[in-house]
Amino acid sequence: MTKLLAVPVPLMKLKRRLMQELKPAKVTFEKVPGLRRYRVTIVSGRFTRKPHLKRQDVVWEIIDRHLPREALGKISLVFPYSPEERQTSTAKRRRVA
Amino acid sequence: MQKNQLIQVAERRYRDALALTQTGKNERAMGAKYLGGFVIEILLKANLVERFPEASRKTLHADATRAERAVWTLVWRLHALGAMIDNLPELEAALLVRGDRDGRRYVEDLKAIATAWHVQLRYSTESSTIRQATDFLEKVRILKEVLK
Repeated sequence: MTKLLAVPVPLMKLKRRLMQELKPAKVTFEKVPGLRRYRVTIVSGRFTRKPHLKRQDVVWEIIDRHLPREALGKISLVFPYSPEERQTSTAKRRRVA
Repeated sequence: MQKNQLIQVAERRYRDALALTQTGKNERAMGAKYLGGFVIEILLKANLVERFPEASRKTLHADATRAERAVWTLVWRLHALGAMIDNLPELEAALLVRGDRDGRRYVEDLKAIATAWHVQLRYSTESSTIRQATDFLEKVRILKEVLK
């Protein structure tokens, strides 16, 4: 809960936009340790069978439309997954743990 | 390791990657992307050693600060493009201004490549197409010029 409140307002607005435009989508922000920047993870069916660089183009186009330029530095990297990939990576992590 | 040397090496790796795409064969696509990602990695390292000269030495001095040690590790031990970008906020700010001036998305494309490429691609059994590799390398070509 504390982490959610710490995310700057422009990023919270961006999160809503990403969820709308890529719906159904799950969007999470994770703070980069020691920096005022966030890694964004997006899970959406829109990414299924889409090459990685195309996914990036889709997401950054949305970011460019909705995030003020001065806030762009708040985003570190964006990780777009399809629901199937997310399940696989979660399952792998569980096996390792 | 000096910035100019690294820029020369990056140019060579770019030409290697380009040669693979010019075969037109899908079986060369992943190799082209793999080498193309190194072009960006080497140029980010060139910017790191310029910004943090201590990191250019192969051996880190014993009383290095924690921050110096972290950057040195990025330069000599890791292939973490995202962390490299995180340590170059001045470069990112300059690219943003230049991108707005040139009508290009330098920052966005740099971060896109930093996520789409990773050094473990060498183990990847995924297939790619020469079209995808060419698109990837075109972004690398444009970024290469502004990262020098």
